[in-house]
Amino acid sequence: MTKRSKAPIGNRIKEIIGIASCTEFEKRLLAELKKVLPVNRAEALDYQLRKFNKISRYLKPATKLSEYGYTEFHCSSHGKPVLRLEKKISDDESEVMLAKTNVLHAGGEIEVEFWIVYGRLFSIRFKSENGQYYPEGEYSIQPVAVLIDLE
Amino acid sequence: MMYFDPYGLYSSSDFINDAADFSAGFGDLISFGVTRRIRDYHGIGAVDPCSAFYSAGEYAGMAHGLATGIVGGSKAVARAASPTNWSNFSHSLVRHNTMSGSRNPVIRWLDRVGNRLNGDYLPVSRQFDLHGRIDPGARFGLDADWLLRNPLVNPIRQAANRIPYVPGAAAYVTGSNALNSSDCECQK
Repeated sequence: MTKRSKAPIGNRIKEIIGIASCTEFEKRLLAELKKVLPVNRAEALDYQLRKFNKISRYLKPATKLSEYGYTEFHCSSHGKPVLRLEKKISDDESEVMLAKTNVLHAGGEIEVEFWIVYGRLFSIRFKSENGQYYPEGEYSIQPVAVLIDLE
Repeated sequence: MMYFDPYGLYSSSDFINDAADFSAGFGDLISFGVTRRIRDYHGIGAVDPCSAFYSAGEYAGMAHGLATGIVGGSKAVARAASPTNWSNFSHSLVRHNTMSGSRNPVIRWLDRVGNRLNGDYLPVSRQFDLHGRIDPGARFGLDADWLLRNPLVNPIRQAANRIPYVPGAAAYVTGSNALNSSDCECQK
């Protein structure tokens, strides 16, 4: 007998259709982030990831210092953006960097930042000196450092 | 000159026929000939596709299509559409990032701000930044609140918006004209 997936049905449908689903790299980064969040905040992150129904990415190599790669998470209902979600990672509604980490791979190092606004995950930003935002081959994720007080 | 017709050689019904030919020529050209096919299907034969007025309507349709493309992406229109009277040039066909830093004079010319063969001016304001909605590379520096309220449009619309208005309009009228070719030669 095969073991059934524990992922909620909504997530499984999103995976099958290929919309609003994270890449394997993003999933690993988010898993590392969840490990260092308080339990209730990690649950809130899981809840938010289920609610997101649009994910946008920009991964072109940067030509300016101000540019970086990003993954944006959006939630909309009846065509209108939903800003505040029921469960929050932080009670602070301002735009803040929640956490950061570094990813080491054969092509170099990627600085990864997790940004939140309205207490919800908003974007993952990827910065690297060579403009490569996704690792090539094997990679290791450094321990994630949470930068704000979540208790 | 006196603008009257003492012998009744050009009656009001002639005028209506000519106006119908002109408007049919105009409509047929901008509709890729779909309106002509609908007329043919329903047996509406009042329009003469070989008349000078029909041809004039077609030329007017071409001019209208091109003018829409030229004017639509101009700086003046973009600023008029912006509540803060501000516009931004979007390098849409080939991204600025791709061409930036090249020493090739053709690429440098194509990369120039205002080159309408490679892009268009778009209205920009705090409430309405079309550039930020259609170009993932134009979202840097915008605050998260705005970005959340204005997610990127879907990839199909992003791709469609990468066609600059001027070459797009030229392709539109050329394609529409090709599909609207009538069989005047055979009738003659």
